[in-house]
Amino acid sequence: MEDPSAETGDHQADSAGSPMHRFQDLVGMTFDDAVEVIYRRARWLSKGDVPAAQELAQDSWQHIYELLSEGRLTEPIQSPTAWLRRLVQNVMLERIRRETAWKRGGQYTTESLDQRVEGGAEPQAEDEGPESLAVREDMSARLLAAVENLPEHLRSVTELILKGHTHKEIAELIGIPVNTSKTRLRAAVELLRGVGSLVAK
Amino acid sequence: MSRFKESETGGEGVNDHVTLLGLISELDASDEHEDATIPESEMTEAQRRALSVLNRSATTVSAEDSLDSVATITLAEIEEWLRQAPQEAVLARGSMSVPLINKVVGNVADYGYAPEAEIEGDIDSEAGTAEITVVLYAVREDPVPVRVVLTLADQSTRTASVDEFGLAMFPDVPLKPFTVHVVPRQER
Repeated sequence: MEDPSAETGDHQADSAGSPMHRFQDLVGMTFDDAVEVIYRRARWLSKGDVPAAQELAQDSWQHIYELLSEGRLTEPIQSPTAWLRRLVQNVMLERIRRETAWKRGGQYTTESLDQRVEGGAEPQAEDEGPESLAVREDMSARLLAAVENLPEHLRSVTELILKGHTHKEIAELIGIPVNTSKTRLRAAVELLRGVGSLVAK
Repeated sequence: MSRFKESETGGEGVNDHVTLLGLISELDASDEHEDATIPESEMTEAQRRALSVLNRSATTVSAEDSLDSVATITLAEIEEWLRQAPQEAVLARGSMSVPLINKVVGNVADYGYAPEAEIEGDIDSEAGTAEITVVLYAVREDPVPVRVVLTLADQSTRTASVDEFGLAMFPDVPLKPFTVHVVPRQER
């Protein structure tokens, strides 16, 4: 299956071995393009709140740097745009967890965060299928069980969204209209929340 | 298909993911679009921050000194700073104080200071500069003597030692984004 988000870019002039050089080599996208992909997703998830978007994007770059510096990003990324979007989503997820833990008065551990976020930030092994493995890395066992209990037509959309794809890309990947993809996600969310009123066969 | 029960979808891992999915679903139906036109100043700021992360981190690793701490004062924050300032600050000759910016400065807690620093500015609108004061609050009796290093938009740097009151002052700083580093005093 061809990933519509896959792309290659010209590398900017930069000293060999620098983080930027390694980033461009491994992610297969120019730094400028990556900045735009990350910032657009951060701005969208922040509902247009510019300071919040800038912070989210910056935190996403921090995770990228950590992957590079700790040698955890070693294989070229197959779907760079989706991968970057997913990384931003996972940083957002980290914030949601932090807020949830704070509201509950509980503790939020860096260890659990790292284990989860890194899963989404690691390059996926494409030979296990584009939709499954990368998403599985993101999800806890309980979430995996919940998503696997979704009807197939909802599960595929949900997994691709978690993987960082847009509805337009999902529409191309599985051959459905964009609005159908949106409706399926909404139904999946309602079902996962225990509502289920929008679930369509 | 039966509905999921709370017990089946419970657990913060599931709920947080569902919250994220719900946010994305909500945005699908909103006027927010990922491909909306973004002002150039925003993209420039995003690029500057990304570069700052990569370059700063590279410096840190090559120096084998992971104790450096960094916070960034962004263009948006400076604009907000100016926006919040009294009208007189724009019109007045001479400097005017503007609201504090509180910033978490990386690992500064390792040196014995509260992680959140206060960034104060006395703006001279005529000169387009500000006197920046960085305030660190010691949380232990023997904090490590430190310096604050400002990296300005033109990549030049200014340094000032943090005094016994936790203050480091920088006169005539251009009103543009800058980063704040904190390093042990004996270094650099």
